Amino acid sequence: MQGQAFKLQILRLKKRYHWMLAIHTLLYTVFSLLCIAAAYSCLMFFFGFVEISIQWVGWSVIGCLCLGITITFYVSESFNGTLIRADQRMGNRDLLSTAYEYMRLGKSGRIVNSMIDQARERVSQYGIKEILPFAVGRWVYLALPVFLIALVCHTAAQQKHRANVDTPDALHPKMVEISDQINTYKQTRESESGSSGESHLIRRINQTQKVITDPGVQTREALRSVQGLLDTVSRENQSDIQDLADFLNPGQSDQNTGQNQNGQTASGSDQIPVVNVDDLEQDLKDLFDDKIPEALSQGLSDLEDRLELENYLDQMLQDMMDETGQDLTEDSTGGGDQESMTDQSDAGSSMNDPSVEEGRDAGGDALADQARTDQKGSDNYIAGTEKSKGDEKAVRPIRSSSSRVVREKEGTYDDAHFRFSIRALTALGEVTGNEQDILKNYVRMNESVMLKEDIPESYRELIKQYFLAIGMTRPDQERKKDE
Amino acid sequence: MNKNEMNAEAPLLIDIYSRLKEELSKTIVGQDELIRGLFISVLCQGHALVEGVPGLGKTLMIRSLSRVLDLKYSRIQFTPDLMPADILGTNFITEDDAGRRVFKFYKGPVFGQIILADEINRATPKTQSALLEAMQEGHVTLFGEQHDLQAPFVVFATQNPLEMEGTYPLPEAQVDRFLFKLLIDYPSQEELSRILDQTTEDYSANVSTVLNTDQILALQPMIKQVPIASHVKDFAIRLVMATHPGHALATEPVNAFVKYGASPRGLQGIVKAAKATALIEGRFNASIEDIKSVAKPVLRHRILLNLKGIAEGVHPDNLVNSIIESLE
Repeated sequence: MQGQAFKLQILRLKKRYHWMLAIHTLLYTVFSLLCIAAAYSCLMFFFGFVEISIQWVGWSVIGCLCLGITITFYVSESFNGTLIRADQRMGNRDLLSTAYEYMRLGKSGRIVNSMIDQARERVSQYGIKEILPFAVGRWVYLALPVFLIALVCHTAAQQKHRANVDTPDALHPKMVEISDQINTYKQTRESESGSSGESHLIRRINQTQKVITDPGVQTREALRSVQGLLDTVSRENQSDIQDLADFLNPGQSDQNTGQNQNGQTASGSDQIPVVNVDDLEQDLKDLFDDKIPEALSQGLSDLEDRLELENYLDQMLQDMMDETGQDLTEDSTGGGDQESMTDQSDAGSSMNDPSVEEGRDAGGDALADQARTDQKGSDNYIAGTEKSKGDEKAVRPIRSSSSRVVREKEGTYDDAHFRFSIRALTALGEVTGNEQDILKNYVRMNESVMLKEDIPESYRELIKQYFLAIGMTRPDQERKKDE
Repeated sequence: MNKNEMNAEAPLLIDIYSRLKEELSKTIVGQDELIRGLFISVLCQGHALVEGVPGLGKTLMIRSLSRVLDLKYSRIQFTPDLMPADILGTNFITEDDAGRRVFKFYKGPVFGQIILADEINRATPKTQSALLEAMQEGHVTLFGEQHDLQAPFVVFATQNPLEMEGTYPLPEAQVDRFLFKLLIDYPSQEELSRILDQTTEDYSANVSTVLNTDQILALQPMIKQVPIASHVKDFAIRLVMATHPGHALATEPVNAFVKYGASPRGLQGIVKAAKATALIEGRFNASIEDIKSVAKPVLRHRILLNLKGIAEGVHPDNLVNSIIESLE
């Protein structure tokens, strides 16, 4: 009878123990969430508005719950351990824990029964709540500072955000309009190129679009971003125009290189040479006998698009500065522009740095000089670079081939007997296809790669020299030679 | 109170102990710890080694206890020339009724129930070891004949810690058979005043019996039935293991000053004494506090100090204290 009563008391104690575990789990979960909220508020305060999705919130709650359960089971004692702790706290001399253990093991006896009766009386005397009082660790005291941090940071971040949003209210629709137009250009470019994000320009456009559509971004930052995009587009245009001009007039590239060596490098639209794209196109048509390769044609089309975008961005930037009364002149020369510039990806950021530009030019010149030195030092080897003297062509010795012989021929000329060994071009065997058909594909592929890939500026001259060295000459020069 | 009544009413032990203390206080002033230790020894069927300077009432205490418990008291004064036969007894040639000469066994003082082995360290090891079988087995064997000792059989041996010249310290094997080593300290001023009143004035104490042999024999098995939780047993085990130098639980002083730690018999003694302590305090379970309270008297003579410990004057009680602190 007394044993049954003690069992009931133990059941009640266990129920309370499990409730305490649940509450502890909840508290650990809430505390974890509070810590995350504080961290998020700090991020908001220091780094601006960070967008979070509802899914992220859901996963955070689930994660914190798992963490709470883990901590609870790791930290909490077993029920028997809790009773031992209660005995120590209440001065029970291990009565409750011993009685519970003997009841659980089903041991009985005169003294055991007396002990269980004594334990039952003790539980009745103290009560369940006094035996297992709800207590939390000292970590709870951390909750208040964490909460205060979260509150303060959140409030401060909101004020900062509001201050940012207040000023550009009138300008925001304009930004959205610009963003839409940039987006249209981006989609057009992507559909034409066949793959999204292939160029750093696309990534740069994405960044700019993200910045100017963010309501928390200050007007100055938006202007900087548009300015940065404008600079990037300008540089690309300049680079392409320069390449095409070099392609058409190789002699000018040395002059340009010389200019760079003299430190006359400038950034932005100021550096764009006054070259008419139509003239370039006409020159190319002349060069390729009205059959401009597809890749070059595509490049010209892209160049025209980018020039339009550049003009549009230039105009838009001017309008925005007029409208807001802000000027980026100071930023473009001061350190304020560095932030936006560091945001630019890969080539964009480094190309804007004059020191990097100088270094690259210097490196390019060094390579070019090396190519020229090779040209002079091994005239017999590099064909096509030696200027012809009248009708006499430069001596072009044939290097002996190690590929296998596919045909043997014999002949007589001026009473002399000759024996020819016709060797295969490759180790695989004789080439049977039409040479023009095969070369045409390679030429197209090379042109396409040259125009689409981001070939470092310093290597362009070297590559051009390579193609010239392997015998590729300009059609007009060929015609002159024939005449 | 008969045996059946004792079985039915276990909580009565606290009353018995109270009455026992009350009766002993008529002749003994203070010395509560000693009384408690001696009574627990009786309940646990153990033996106790009582150590104290002369004149503190050791003999009087044990004699009074035997009177209160109504047990047959024997005193053996150990001297260097004491022989085993002087303790155990011997065969005498005598004539029977028919006039034939026969050997008759003359029981020695060991055939009592409470044996006071006074100044046991003064006898030779041969004589000391004569008590071994009696203390451990509860019987003696003489001339091939086994003689049972009357239960309960308890040996209380005394030692004088001052006069060590001409003494034979008890061997470890024999020391280990004592459940407790009880120390008697000087009485306080108030106690001394009461001692003066009782001994130098016209004072006669009439000590009455609290328990008898049957009742004691009924109480002794009850000690084993006292519940002890696993974590309390675990504490006792760790306590004993911590007395072993080099063990993971051993404290720094133990590693430095102890040669040998406590034996398993010491662990048994701790648990039995803790159970008895719980009962005489009116509880029905042994607790960690009970283990702590009996740790010193059980372990102090089982912890063998090394040369450094002896030279440093380390007391085993301090070692036990350090172990308990480390386990808490």
